[in-house]
Amino acid sequence: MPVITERQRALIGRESEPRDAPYVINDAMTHFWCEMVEDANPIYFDPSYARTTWLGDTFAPPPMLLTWMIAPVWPEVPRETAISRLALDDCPATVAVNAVQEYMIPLRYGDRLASTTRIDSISDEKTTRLGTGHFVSTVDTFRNQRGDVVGTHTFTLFIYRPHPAGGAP
Amino acid sequence: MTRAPEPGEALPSISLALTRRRSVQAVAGTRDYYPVHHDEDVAQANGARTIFFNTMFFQAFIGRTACEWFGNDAFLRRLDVAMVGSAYIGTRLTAEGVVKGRREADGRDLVDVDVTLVTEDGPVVRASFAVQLPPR
Repeated sequence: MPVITERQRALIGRESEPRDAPYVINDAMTHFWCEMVEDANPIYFDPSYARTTWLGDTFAPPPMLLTWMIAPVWPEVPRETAISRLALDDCPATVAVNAVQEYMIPLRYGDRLASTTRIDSISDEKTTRLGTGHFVSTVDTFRNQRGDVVGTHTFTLFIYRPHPAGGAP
Repeated sequence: MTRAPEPGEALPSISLALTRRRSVQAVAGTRDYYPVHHDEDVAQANGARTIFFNTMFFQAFIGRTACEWFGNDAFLRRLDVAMVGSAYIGTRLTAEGVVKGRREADGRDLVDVDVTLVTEDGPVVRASFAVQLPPR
């Protein structure tokens, strides 16, 4: 659809209900994250070091925000998301364009996050080197179990149908 | 880093080999199961050369560089990542950083840095971050 519909426009700016993270912030998943990029910072795992610093104790790397919210891949529970509610059904592919994260409070082990999402903007249809589709921006707000905002994540995605094979301009 | 960062100062490059194994680690580490990050056929059907790395992987790598450059107890406050290319398996990813400036905001001692992540194919990510230095 070349322009967004009234129904899609009405979804802009609406904050979703909070959704709980499937796992508490834990050191095993944090190790997997650090192994991935060879991050040896002792502040994430060594309390005898972390407690000597102004940060007070160990915590998970701030950019892990989104990872804590990802639902288990099994058993699969179909779930409506802010993006799926847009029903951009003719656009099967998604690519990240821009992500801005802000970190207010360290992610402490044992905390459980919950997040809310709102759609910030949806563009009319545009064509890029990848295909034709819509730029969609969402804002996620993450809170711990005490209700403190620990961080925010503003994500701009391009949701599109790829050019036919060999037909890219 | 024990001395004060100077605006315009180039930071030591940090790099990682983007092996197939690392793409598997990236699924385990970020829990991003979107198939373009682990399935060549799906990646190619989406117009990519092969499996490519996800946004969270780049955020993790830049998070690492922030503390390697400014200290284990520096705290990342803001990270802005713009995707300008794809980082494919079989390439090498390098973080190049330049200090933009140092400022005080809300009683915090912040350093602003521009980072580019590049592979042999060219730039993949243009990022900037603000990291808070420990209170003196």
